[in-house]
Amino acid sequence: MEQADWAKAQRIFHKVAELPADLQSAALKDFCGDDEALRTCIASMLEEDRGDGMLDGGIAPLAQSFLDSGTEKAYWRHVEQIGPYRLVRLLGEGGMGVVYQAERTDIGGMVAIKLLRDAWVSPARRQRFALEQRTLAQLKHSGIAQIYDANALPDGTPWFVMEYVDGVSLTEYWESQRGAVENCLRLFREVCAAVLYAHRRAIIHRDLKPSNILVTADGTVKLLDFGIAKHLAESETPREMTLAGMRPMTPVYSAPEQQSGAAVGVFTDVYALGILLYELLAGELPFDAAGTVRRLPLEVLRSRFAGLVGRGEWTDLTVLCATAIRVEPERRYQSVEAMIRDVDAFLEQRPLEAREESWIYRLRKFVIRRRVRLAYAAATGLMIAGLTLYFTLRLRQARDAALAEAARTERIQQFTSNLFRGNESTVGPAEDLRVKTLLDRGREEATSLSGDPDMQADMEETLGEIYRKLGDQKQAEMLLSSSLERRRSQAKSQPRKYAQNLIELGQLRTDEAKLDDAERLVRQGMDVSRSLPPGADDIAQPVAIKAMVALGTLLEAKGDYPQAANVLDSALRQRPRSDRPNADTAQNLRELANVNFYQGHYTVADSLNQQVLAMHRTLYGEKHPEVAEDLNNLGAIQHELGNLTQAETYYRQCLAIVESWYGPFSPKVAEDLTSLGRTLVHERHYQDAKPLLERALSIQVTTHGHDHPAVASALNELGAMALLEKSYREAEERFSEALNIWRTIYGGGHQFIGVGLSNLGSIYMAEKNYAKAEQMYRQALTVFIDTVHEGHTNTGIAHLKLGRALLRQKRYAEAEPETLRGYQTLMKLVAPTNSFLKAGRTDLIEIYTGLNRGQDADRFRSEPTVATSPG
Amino acid sequence: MGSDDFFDDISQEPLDATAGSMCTDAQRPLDEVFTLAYEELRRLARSIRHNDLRGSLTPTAIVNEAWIKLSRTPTVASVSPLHFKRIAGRAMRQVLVDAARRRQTQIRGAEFQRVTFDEATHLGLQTALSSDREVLALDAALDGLARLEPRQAALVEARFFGGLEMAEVTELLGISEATALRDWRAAKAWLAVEVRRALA
Repeated sequence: MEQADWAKAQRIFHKVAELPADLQSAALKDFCGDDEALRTCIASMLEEDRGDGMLDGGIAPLAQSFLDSGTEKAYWRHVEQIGPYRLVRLLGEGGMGVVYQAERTDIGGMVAIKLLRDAWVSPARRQRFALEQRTLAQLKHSGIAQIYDANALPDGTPWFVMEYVDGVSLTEYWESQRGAVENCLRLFREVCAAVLYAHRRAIIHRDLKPSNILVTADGTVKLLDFGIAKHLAESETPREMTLAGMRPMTPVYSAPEQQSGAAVGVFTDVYALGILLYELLAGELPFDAAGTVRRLPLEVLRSRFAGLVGRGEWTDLTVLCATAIRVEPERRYQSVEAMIRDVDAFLEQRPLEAREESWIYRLRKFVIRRRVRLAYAAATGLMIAGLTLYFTLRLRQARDAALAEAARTERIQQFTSNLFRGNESTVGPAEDLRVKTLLDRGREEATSLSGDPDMQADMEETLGEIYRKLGDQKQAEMLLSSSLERRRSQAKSQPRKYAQNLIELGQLRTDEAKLDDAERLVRQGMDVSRSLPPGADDIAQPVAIKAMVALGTLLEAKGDYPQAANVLDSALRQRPRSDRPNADTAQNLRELANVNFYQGHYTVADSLNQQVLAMHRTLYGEKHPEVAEDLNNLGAIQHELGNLTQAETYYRQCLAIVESWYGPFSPKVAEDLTSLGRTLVHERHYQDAKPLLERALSIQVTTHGHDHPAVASALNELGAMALLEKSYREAEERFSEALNIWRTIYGGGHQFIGVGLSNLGSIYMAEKNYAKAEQMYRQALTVFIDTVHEGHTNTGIAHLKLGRALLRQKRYAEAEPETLRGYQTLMKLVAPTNSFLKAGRTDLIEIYTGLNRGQDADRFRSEPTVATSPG
Repeated sequence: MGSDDFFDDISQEPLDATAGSMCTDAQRPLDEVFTLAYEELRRLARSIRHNDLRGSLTPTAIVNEAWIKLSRTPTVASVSPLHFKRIAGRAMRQVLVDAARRRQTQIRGAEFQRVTFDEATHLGLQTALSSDREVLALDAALDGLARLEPRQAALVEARFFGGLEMAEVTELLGISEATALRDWRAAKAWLAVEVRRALA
């Protein structure tokens, strides 16, 4: 049957089916004419239609037969030999695979063969199986079962051959052995060592449990089943995240973050190891009936380990288990290595590291949490290496009381800048051992300094700046406020430090969008720096410039662009002339570029930013956050100029750097996701844009809370997309929410308020509610004229939009001046192919036609840019 | 069982006749959803068997439960519930067809006679599908229908295998309820004819 026949058959079928039964046969003959085949087909259909349809019974009976598939026999169930391997017995069956013990017929010996069941389901399933194969191939360790061979059956079922482990599960083995508690910990240490080996190859097992850890008769530990192992080095693709959530894991050994589907890391395996250790020690799981974690029962330990367990040992073992099993990943052992260190400490009767908690703990907690987020990103390495350097410095300082004040400060400054401006390629992976040891020793020696408030303030300020630069505003706030408090009392004797601290806290407030507060602090810092005694001028000068840049940045954030431009420009002019690229100059230039950008001076902004980019590349190399930021700024300029492809290229380069540097959950990533999403929306690639924007919004809300420009910005982009997709209510909701946030932060006088109003207007335009649109556009225009003035792109666009709202209401005379003004404004600012410009031209032609001014209409018809060429 | 090409063919076939933009980039996540749906269905099927809750086994119940479980995972969360159900319907079809096909293979391989079974199904008027051959025949007929009218085949797959309500089907396919009901009625009748002819 052909498509046309089927359409015809259906038409006749429906017509005839409506008729009384006795008339159907005749009617059918009538309709079909001499097409006998058609008649027979429809007659049969009508017959089926009369009874209970075959499909009306639902699939329950079918599903039932599927359920009864205990008798099902797949092709491979009949296979007795695969290549040179003769199957001996079934070892196990899971959702993914089936494992057989097999004998090698050619050279003898036992192996295990794993087959993928239902390989046909999807490529993803086969990829996952292949991934396990690849994972195993990477792991060559006496504690991990090795892979030997791999291929596929004739029906496509893939299989691979592993080392056959003739052993029993870890817990079973220990119960049969028993012995001193030290032996138990040595056995456990073997397991840890194998897991650590995998971690060092950036592979997380994720499914550690007794049945996946076999012990042979001679006591050799073997890890099995890397079926859901995760490669840390690979980006967290949705697939892998899903797998973590999907796999029917044994709940007792899987960490909370696995059960909730949150990001997993080395800490996930640490958790499982903790449960295993508890089980080995106590002979039972650490959970009570309600699922809460129990302490190790001392009596049970004593009964299991023949009275050898003292109270101190018991406390240590409790701490060991508890530290590994904590719910919050950041409070667990930060690595298996750390856990092994405490196992060793126990075996060597040293105090456990996990037993010490202090402010150092909080710091470490920060490091760990960062590491969780960053998943081995380079920034972590920097952070930790930086701390090492920091404490090395602190130690030296502690020993050498005569260290000159200036030199000390310089070192700390150097440290801060090295931390963020170093060359990432020279920094190795995280080495928490050194940090921990250093921190501990450093703390001891630093205690003797606790009487020195200046030293304390230095420390807090430095750490506060680190936190600020890493975007942890809460921690930064705590530390910078505290150091400022200490410095206030020494404002007379240490005015420069006081000024610097004021500026830094001001910058933090700028980050937090608390702009009035920020201005107060920065201006105060500026006053102090100006009042510095003349003798200290050479040092004081940079502080004064720093204050000016901070003030310029802040005025920029407030939307006072001309004023900001003035301040930044004079800061630039006060700098010593030097050909060498310099980070502070670059920062100064960048802010100036931004101010130009916001004022619509895109060519100036572009050339300034190209200078900044060149400086940063010379200073830090290609893949540095500063370089990323420059790329982002350049992308924004291209976006505004309407060169979307170029903008997308810049943004993608930027995002790649930022994601690899900060990890996937950083607010920095969110900002870049928003930028890229915005460009994709404009390119009408909605499917690509939406997930990016949603991800950005969720990161921003988590980081900043609801009332923050970044949240508003993300909402605005989602609104723009909803509008383009014609989801008007969603668009209205998003735009209004963004507008409310801007109003909360800025009050009335900021151009973003105009953006919000104008966007709302666009929704009403799309819905043909022109009166309401006009109202919004008029308000928006007022805001733009007040804030960025006539001549700015946004003001021009607002004129055009208002003109169109009037045009649609056929109020040609009122529309004409608005559209014309907008058109003339944009002509000077944007590329000839800009869609607003084209729209303006179309509108003008329509307006003049409506006004019967044919000549004027013709004038715009013949504008040189009318004949648009590609690009 | 077919080759890899055949398998790829299944998962790369556009799952949504109305979603024109669902092309190459969007295919990967859909493929993942399909896998997940399948595994979840399989797991559910097992647990139902163990708990002997046969009465509750309707596609709607299974698909809804799968959705609740899977909607927390990022891949699935990016897909609308409706689209997920559509995919789950596809998964359900594959699960059943594959189970049937494997049993058929086994039976031929073991040279079993299916006399009893065939007699049972062909004596009297069969009103509901229950045998492997019928499932395979329906699957083939549905492929035939997809060639004649893809939208109708999608409707049957969503409604019969995915357990979607009529209102959901209309939203998914972007058609009116009257059209959906007509399409469903004609498709049902035609498929029944085709299945019966294949089994004759």
